[in-house]
Amino acid sequence: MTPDGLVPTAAPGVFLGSAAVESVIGALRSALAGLAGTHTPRSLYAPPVIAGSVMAKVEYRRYFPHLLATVFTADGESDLVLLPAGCYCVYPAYEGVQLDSAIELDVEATCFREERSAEPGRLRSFRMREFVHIGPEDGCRAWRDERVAAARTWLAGLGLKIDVVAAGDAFFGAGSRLLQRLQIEEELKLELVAEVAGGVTQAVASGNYHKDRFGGLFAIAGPGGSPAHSACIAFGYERLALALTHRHGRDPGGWPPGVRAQLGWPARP
Amino acid sequence: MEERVRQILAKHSGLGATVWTIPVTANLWSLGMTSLASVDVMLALEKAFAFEFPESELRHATFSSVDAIVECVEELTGSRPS
Repeated sequence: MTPDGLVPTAAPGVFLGSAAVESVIGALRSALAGLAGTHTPRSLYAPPVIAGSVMAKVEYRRYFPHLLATVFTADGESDLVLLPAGCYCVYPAYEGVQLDSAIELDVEATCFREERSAEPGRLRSFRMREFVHIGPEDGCRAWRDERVAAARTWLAGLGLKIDVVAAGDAFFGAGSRLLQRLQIEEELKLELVAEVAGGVTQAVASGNYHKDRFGGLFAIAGPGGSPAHSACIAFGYERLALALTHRHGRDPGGWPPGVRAQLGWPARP
Repeated sequence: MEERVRQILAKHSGLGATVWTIPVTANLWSLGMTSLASVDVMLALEKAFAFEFPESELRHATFSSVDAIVECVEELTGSRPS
């Protein structure tokens, strides 16, 4: 067992959750619902697989082929791939819809990305909680910024030292360096970074503004009829658990009362 | 140079034949060029003119217009008219 309570398996980057880690994730699951504040999102659970046709439509195979895994059966390649992020399930559910007003969704997903690093927290199989906003252009980026600010305050309340940094996705191929630079220049992706192990900092959450990319691809229209804009903020459960155990120790019973209270636990177990 | 840049834009920017008629200062982003399309433009420019954009030029301004692209390519390939 690692010091942080994730139990290694035969597969690198794939861990079993100890009881302590699962209790933290359970508390995070409940507490994150409160982070939605006055919003009343529609809750969805995303299975660990998604139609390969959806990922083809969003060109995931072109830009992130190194992260994507395909499901094979006895008959060969199936129509499914492993889900790399929760929000990809959402857009097809609204394909062809014209929205009367902005909508918000609360998605929990089991995800897979073919991470090649053995760094702690760089899991291949992990769970993600994602809030997704789809609506008119006006207010979409502001929603992302507001959610990132709220998340930063919330994570600081858990005792984590959080830095918010503009970041670029790990695009594949010769053009990746331009895509990353443009993404950073436009601040389309804001990562909330914390230490998850000694000297190792990683994004424990990230807020993304997609402009009208998914609205355009899936013919989702805003109230005015033009392609809807979308944004999301995603939290990595395992990374948050790692960051919290790294910060406060393996035994949640000994965590500061304020942290325990924010997680919905009594001051002392 | 300008004609070759317009050729590349017509093929890769997603704006099609309209790039033949737009002013050299027209903003390509405002016209609808996406960041994903700009990657194809960048790679085609690098191949056509045998150079590589340095990190410092990987920004929106570099690809913002025909003029901006021509100026940058001339600068980086040392082909700017004196």
